[in-house]
Amino acid sequence: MTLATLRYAVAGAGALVLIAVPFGLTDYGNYVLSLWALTTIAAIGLNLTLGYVGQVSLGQGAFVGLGAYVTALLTTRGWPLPAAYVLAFAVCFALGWGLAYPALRARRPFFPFITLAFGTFVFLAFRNEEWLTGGIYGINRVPRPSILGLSVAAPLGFYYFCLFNLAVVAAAIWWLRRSPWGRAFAALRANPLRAEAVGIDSRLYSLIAIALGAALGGVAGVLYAALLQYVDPTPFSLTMSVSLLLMVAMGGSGRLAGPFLGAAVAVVLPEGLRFAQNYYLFGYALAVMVLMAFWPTGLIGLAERLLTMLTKPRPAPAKAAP
Amino acid sequence: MSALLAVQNLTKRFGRRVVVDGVSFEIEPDEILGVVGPSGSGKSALFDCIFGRTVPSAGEVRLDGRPVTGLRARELSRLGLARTFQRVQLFPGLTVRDNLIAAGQEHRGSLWSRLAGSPDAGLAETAAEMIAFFHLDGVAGQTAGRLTERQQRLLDIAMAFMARPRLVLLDEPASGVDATVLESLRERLRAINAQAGTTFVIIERDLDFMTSLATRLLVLAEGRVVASGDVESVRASGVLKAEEE
Repeated sequence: MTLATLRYAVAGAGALVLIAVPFGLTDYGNYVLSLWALTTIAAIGLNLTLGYVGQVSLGQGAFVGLGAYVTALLTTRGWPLPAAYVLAFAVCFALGWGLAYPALRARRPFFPFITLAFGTFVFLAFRNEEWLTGGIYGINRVPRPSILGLSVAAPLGFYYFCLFNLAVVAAAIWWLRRSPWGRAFAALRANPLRAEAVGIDSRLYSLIAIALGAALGGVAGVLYAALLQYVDPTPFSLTMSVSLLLMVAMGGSGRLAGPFLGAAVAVVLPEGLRFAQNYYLFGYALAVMVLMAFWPTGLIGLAERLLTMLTKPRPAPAKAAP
Repeated sequence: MSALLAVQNLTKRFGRRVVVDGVSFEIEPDEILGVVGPSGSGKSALFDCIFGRTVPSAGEVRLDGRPVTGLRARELSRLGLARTFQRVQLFPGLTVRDNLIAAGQEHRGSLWSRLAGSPDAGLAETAAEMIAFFHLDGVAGQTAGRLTERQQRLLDIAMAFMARPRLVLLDEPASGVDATVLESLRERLRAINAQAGTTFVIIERDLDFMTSLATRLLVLAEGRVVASGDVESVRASGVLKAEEE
């Protein structure tokens, strides 16, 4: 079996598990899986920024927050959820583009600082602009949507709704990666000198990747608001941005499946390791350091290395001399 | 016939050090210009200025009479200029076929069509031709990072032709290539020059390779042009003696 076949087999098996597993779970279990699905979408967005064009963003949490607040503000005023998707996507795309444009003109790596300042600004706006955001009390009674007349208000239904969103985003990223855009991202990451020499516009492609990454943060925010049915500023601090960065790095930046694994380790695994209490965080931090030091391609890179070793045809034993 | 590329008084300084000093020359369409000079004579610095890798301190570069001084490599690529580098520059994680397609895709269609259209940007056939032309058939699906040094050099050169350029700079194309392949490479470059009318600038330390291919030579020393003309007259002037030894 080749590595490519094995990849498809693992992806298929993973999809089946994600479809089947919620039936055996409590409402809380479905809530955790929904949170994993939307966190994965935010991490996929950050993977575009970090993994595909190599820019460190410390503002992905702010984009998730913007998506969540846009959703809360619109849907509590009677607007349908699709309007929130469109506005959250558009606002975050435009802001991502606007932040990256000046940063990419500079020779020095300013993007982390610009996104750090942006994240802090957005967090303070959420907290202080009470007339719009409700301040520290936030906005509650965010409704869950109905899809073609079917309500997804129940935890199981909402999980499938999140899973559907994740499937659409994953399919779009898969398409992007196999398109000439994906090849341009890969070329820029591998060798910017040659990429420019063959006509690849590094600034334009970087802007596209960063803006799309920010927009996916907004989409994750739409689902976040609908999942919790309440938004307040606390979750959208720098902590969320750093946590998303660690998920991408740990899963495997630049890899399609990296954010899925990274988000699973950060969101789902702690639920199974509750007995470890705060030692889990200690172990998590240690695991990130060890991975980055010895396997910088993350868990996906590590898994692929193991799979390659397993699928490598073994040399036939030498025949004994007559 | 007007010059394809005209360079006037091009100068490049790094602080007080002048690495290219008032160089002027022209390249006619279809010609193969060989650039010779000892290490540190300013060959690569000169062509880095012309091909948009660095901005010249003074002087002018014109393509078809239009000023292109200081344009970025990407913009010059759109105008039909392509180049290789002294050290092989590939996309090591991409396959040979994808390296070739990546080298040509930005010259095909619009930005949107490159997202929504065919994954190979309509370049599968051109890539297959290049793969066959440069004897890379057996490794087309292999990642470039796993090729031998010789195969990498051939792929590096093949990539320069994917966008059907008008002017190609080949920086030490014979480096790392054995004698058999060198002969084949010479024939291939001659064929491209004759069939597609591609103009070449070749920087090369292998003088035999260079003089058998070039229609004209430009000799540089300490950042200046010290001789220029057809191969025989430059040879006769004696400026190549140091190189030939």
